[in-house]
Amino acid sequence: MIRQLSEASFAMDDVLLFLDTHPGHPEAMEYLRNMAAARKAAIQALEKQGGLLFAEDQAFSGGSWVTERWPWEGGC
Amino acid sequence: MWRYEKRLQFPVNIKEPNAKIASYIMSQYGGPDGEINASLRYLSQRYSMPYGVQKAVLTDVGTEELAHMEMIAAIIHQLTRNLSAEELEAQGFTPYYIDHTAAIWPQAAGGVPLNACEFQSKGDPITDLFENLAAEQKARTTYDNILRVVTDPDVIAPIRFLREREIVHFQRFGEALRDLQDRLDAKNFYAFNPSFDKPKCR
Repeated sequence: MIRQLSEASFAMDDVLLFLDTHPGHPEAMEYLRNMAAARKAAIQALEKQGGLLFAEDQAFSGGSWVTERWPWEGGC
Repeated sequence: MWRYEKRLQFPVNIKEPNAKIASYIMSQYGGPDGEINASLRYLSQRYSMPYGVQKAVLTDVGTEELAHMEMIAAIIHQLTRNLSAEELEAQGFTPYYIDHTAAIWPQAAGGVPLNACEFQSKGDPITDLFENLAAEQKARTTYDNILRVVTDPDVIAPIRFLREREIVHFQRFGEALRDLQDRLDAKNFYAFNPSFDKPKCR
């Protein structure tokens, strides 16, 4: 699931850059829609398990933002 | 504005500390062609860009460079954590450790602190885009240099990823430059500075 989030998010980041220099490109827009949907699903699944990606999601999810482990520390 | 998303763009999970390698990779944090300077360069240049395409590319690439800055910091942190002063000394890390212990601080591998003189934001869109094309190549070369001296696969994986992103950014800046040129007088790109001058035939 973390893997899906990572891959979908990166694919999205990359196509977004492409769309900056090719605004409205139809295939790229289609790819963006797919990647963004996959990312959204991955975020929802992850946050249901208590892992918050954005501080503001404390509003909807029971997870905690002030965790002991942060992304630069590695491990899973 | 920026929000923080609590994950790395690409995972960094390093099992074996190595302060020597950390001191080399530090150049991609605080060095002349590192991620912080890349980010500051692009985010600074975007304000004087005249057209949307360039403003978008500079904003989005500049933002991605912040994510890369974070990855480099994660690599250095994981390579230097949980080592004693003796181990750091044995790995050639002492000068940095004296002033920063095992903290992250922006300097180059050779000790030169991060400096705005290492990048330009020139206020002419042609000039700035050429600066950026060069910057991405400088970053790519730095990663090439790092890859020659690293053997740990846990370190190689994120470094290879970051190197490939430099090449993609180079591509995007090339497209942004072509887009800009398409909007200028094909007989004389330098007739005026679209970031600053009003065109003379108005």
